[in-house]
Formats: sequence, C-alpha cells, structure tokens
Amino acid sequence: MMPRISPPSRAIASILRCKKASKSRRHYATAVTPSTSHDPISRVSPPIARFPPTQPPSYKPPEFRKSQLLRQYASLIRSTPLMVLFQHNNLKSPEWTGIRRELNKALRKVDDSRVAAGLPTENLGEGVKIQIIQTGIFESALKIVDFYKPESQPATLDPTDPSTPSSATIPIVKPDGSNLTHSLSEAAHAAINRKSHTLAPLMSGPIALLTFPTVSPEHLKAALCILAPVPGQFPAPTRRANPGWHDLPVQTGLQKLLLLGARVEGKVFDTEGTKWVGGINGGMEGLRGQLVAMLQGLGGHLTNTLESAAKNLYFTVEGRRTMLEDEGKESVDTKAGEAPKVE
Amino acid sequence: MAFEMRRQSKQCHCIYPCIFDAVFGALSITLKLPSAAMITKFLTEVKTVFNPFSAKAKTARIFLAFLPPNARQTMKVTTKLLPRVSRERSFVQLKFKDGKELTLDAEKLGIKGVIEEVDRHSRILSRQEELTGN
Repeated sequence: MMPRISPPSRAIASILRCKKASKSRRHYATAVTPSTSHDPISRVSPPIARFPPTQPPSYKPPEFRKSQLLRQYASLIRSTPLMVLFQHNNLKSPEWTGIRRELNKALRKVDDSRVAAGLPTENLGEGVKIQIIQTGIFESALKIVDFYKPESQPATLDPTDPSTPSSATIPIVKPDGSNLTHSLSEAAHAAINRKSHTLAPLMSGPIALLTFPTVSPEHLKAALCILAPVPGQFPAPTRRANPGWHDLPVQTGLQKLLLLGARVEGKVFDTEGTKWVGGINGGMEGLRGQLVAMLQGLGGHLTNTLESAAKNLYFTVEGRRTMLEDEGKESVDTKAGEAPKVE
Repeated sequence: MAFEMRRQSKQCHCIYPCIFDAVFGALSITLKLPSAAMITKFLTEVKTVFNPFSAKAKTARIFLAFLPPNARQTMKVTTKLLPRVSRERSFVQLKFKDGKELTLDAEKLGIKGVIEEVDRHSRILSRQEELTGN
C-alpha cells in the first residue's frame, strides 16, 4: 500500500535538515523513514537538567556511608589549611571527653588573650575540632584534593535569576554524568588511580585529626601544650593554673595519644616540623613583623648597593677630572715654559 | 490432624536452637584464636622506635594499638619517633615478667608475626603460672 503522505521533496527535506538543531526528529504516521542523517533521540542532550542541582549523578554510590564520608573528608581537607595527625591507642570515652574539654578551654583562653590584646575577634577556638577518621577513605579524599584539579568547573547558571542574560547557554550535563567534576565523579576516581600521597604511610592504624580553620601558630601552640606537652617549648599547664588537665582520665588519655605529623597549607611536616610551626613566636602577626623587618633591612642594603655603583662612578670620574685638570695645568705650565724656547 | 502438625512444628523449633548453639559455640571458639587478641598480661616493658613516615612502621604503630586501654598502668610503654628523613629500622623491644627480653624486627615480621612471637612466650608463662597454682 502506498503511504498516504508522500515523502518530502528534496527542497522541503533540506529545510527540515536546517531546523534539526532546534527541533527533534519529525515523526511520520507511516513506516517511511527519511534518508536524512538525524541523530537518534537517545543521543540528543536533554535541554533541562534531569537531576536536582544538589544531587548530581555520581560514579560512587551516594547512598553508602563511605561515599558520604569521602565527600565529608574532601570538604574537610579543602577547608582546613592546618591539620595535626595523632595516633590514638585505645582511648576510652571519658578520656576523650576530658581531652576535648581541656583543649576547648585552652583555645578559648588564646581567643580571649587575643581580644584583650586589641586584635579583632575571630573565635577560632570554636572551629578547632579533634576527630577520629577512617584512614582508607581519608587517604583517597587526600588524593582527590591534591591530585584532582578539574580545569573547567561547570558554570553554575541560574535560569531563574533575572540577571542571567537570556542568550546565555545553560551548561548541559550529560545524562550519564561523565562531565561532572565533583568528588564522587568518575573523573575524580580516574585521576587518583595509582598515585600515592605523602601522607599515605600514616594512613593506617587508629588516627585522629586535629583541624584548624586557619593557620594560627598561637592556637597550635596552645593545643600542643595540652595534647603533646614538651617541657620548655610547649609547657604543660601547671596544677594551680589548670587543675582539670591533671585529672586522671585526661592524663591516662594523653599518655595514649601520639603526635605523628601535620599538614600545613598542603605541605607535610613531621613531629619536629609541627613543633616548629607551633613555636613561631607571636603567631602570624609575629611572622609578618619578622618578614617586614627583614625586607626593610634588605631594602636598606639594596639602596646602599645600588648607590655604591653610582658613588664609585662619581668618585672615579671626579678623580679622573681632577687628574686631568692637574695634567692640563701642568701641560699649560710646561707649554708656557717651552714656548719661548721654540721661538 | 492439625494438632499433630503443630506438635511436629513445635519439635522442629526445639531442634533449631540446638543446632544454632553448636554452630555459634564453634564460632566463639574460633574467635578466641591468638590473632584476635594478644596476651599482654605478662609484659612489663614495651619500647618501640619507628619513623611514622615510613610505610614499614605500620607494624610498630599497630602493635601499640594492640595494647589494652590500661596498658600504661601495668607496664612501662616508651615510644620514640624518628624524624621523617631517617632510614633506621623500626623495632619493638619487650620485657616479660620473668625477665626475658625480646627485640623484634617489626619490619620483617609484620603484625601477625610480632603477636605470634609475644604469645609464644606468654603462653609458656601462663602455663607455668597455672602449674604453680597462682
């Protein structure tokens, strides 16, 4: 039987082909298939996002606890420039409670002393936390943060925002999520494959993290005084100043807590390095003061050095000039003396 | 007829717990193998030296984690951390109640090997203790 609608003529077919970009393929009521090279519908990228913006499709199953822990650790590492690693050997819960209490108390004291010294209130002490981590998941989170640097972040355009130009193209995310760049994406998984992190050897056994929201040597020093006191450099609080620190649960807990190392601004430090960071006098302000003094000294030296070349030149030229003048005088004198002889 | 059925099913219920007991009893015996826990009763002194940034220091660190929570009250535990660049081997040094000293190469043995060595001597001591009746 002949189809009721005849296939489109050559001219109409070419018009249809031009419109392909905006319209999907045209359907016919009959079994006639057009010979044009239309993409099948399944390969056309969807014009609207098929998932909520907070739940992009992910490579690792998001409903598992370990996937969520990975996300949590990655975000923790990204937001924490200073973290200290401890090994905790079978601490009991009263011991943890006591240690956290003493730590909070010491950090609050640092905050108060900063306010008393006239510095702006930051309340860093509230952001400092000590927590136990799952080492394997934390290791891969470290690798994701340090090795996976997606070049192009998919732009976040909000089509409902009136300031968005109507001509702006909303970035199309492929339905399988292969061009997503979040921590659980396939790209992140591929980027960390067969790489080892500097902190990887530490990631075994029971590990606890002490995290700081900013690099603050003062707070680190206060924390080390509580958690890993060294007589002299990091003196433990005295019994009179802080009797709570000398409680039995705190003391037994601290004996079992072992300082292993630190990660400061992406760099890994061992025990000595951690103590060096904690031992910077006067915190970041002190460090800046030292730097300014050093640069000022350097500037003085630099001007002296630069000036010295000019001065040398001046003295040389001046010396030469006086020499020439002297010679000129001498020659004039000799000429004056010789002249009558020639005549 | 229905009564008969119920009686049979009741009997079945009676049989199952016996089987479960047998199975779980066997399981609990297997869980008491030395690999699960170390006999720390006879240790008086533990000394470990390791560089935490070496991958082979894992054994020494995990050994410390195997000591019970009250270990510091019953024995003397000293830990020395080497600097990051150090190439020295990590080891575990032990002293038992009878005065025997043991130095274990943690890098070669692995945690299972270390525990095996500790338990080997601890079992001798526990047997002696049982025989003397203390």
